[in-house]
Amino acid sequence: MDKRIKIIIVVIVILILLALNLMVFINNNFKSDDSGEENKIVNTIVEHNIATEEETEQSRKEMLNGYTEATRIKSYVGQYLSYVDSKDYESAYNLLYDEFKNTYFKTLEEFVTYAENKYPDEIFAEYTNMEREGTIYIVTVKLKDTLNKDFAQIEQNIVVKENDLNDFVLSFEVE
Amino acid sequence: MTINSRITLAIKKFFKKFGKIIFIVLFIWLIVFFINLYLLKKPEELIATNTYNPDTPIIDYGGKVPNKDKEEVNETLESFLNYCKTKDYENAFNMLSDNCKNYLYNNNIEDFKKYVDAVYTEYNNYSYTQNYSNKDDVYIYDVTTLNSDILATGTTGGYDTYKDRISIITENGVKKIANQGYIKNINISKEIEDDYMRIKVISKDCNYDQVTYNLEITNKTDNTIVIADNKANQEITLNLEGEYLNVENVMTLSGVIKPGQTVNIILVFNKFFDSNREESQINFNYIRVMQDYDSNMSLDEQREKANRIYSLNIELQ
Repeated sequence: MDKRIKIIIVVIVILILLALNLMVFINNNFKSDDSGEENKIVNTIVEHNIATEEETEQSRKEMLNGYTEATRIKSYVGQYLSYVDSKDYESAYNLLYDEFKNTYFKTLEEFVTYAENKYPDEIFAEYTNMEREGTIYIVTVKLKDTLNKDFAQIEQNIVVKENDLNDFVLSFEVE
Repeated sequence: MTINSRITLAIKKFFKKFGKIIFIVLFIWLIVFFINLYLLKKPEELIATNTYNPDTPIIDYGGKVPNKDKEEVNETLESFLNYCKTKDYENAFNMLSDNCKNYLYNNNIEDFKKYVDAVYTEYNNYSYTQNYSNKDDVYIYDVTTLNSDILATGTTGGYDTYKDRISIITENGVKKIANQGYIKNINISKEIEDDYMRIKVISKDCNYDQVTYNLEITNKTDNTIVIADNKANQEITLNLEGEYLNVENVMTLSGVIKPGQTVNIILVFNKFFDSNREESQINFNYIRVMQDYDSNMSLDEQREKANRIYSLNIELQ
């Protein structure tokens, strides 16, 4: 066989292998950007990412990692409000800071009673302010009822401490 | 020779010649391929990042705290705050610089206790630090202390914050604390004299936003000397390389010196510690030497009756 043809074959084989490697590299390093998700959360409607059954901890972390700091904290608040909105009071209660629970809601029943009286049936949340004291965030939300116009809107401070991605505790202003 | 046998022969020849190279390339490629595959499957290590950067100065004229000092500075600050929170007055007081103890607390731990009790009202108060500015090996931090654990209360009942500006300075090779905006005392020991007065500039106390000069002035004459009585404009100024700052305490300083009298006066100027302008002169712009002085005299009356009116600059550099 002509020497030139042999070299061409070797080069083609190497190029194919390199292309395969490149494909794996691109898959590995250039994933689609999740930042577009941010708008969902900046908007006022509580449609915050309650983890669906198939959503893994890791994928939620990846999603949160793509958010800005403010959006991430709002997302935690949104998660709490979503639990309340869907009457999953136990999950909402589990997000509360222990010392806060000990002071204001020693039992889940106490919290359920409070939540049922305080929060609207169909929560519409509007974030009106956010402050940070060191590593603790204070998010102010206005809560309305999307279905019940007679529900007088309430404003509440929700305090969030993020330990790590998707690892947080919160408390709120009790009135 | 048939075509098949020619092809087989060619392939054999090809692999005989290039087999080793192909094997090596294939081997390397397989390693790279599997490493890539492993990295693809490996969960990405995700860390929550936020915009709270306590070591990044708000004002960066003086740069950051050097890495060699960072750990010691943070430990010093943390220890002091912990002592204050746990009401360990003695250990906290011992962490203060000698200048700070003297200037703010009259070397009296009871005065310091009052400060601690006023700020740290609860055991385990939450506080956080933020590097504010750094200059001349002085590291200045803002420390915010909350009067309640807002995570435990959810801000129920509200909360207050107290902001202190704390400097970490080196005193005899040891890191010490100066709080409430105070930084340090600098010895000056400069003396000038003319026919009327002898002026000693003893030292200056630096706060973050003020500098206070400590002077001793002796009236050498039989006349009253007025260096400041708030009748004229800009009676005393501090020259910052061409920018002039008015003295702030003109209403309270002892600016009227009786014949033969020696007085200690302090001059306060609103000059930031981290300003890049150096203090070059203290200017006495309207000194009046008067046979008879009455505090009710107008400036015009003083002008008429003064034996002499002159100005005097004290060079500081």
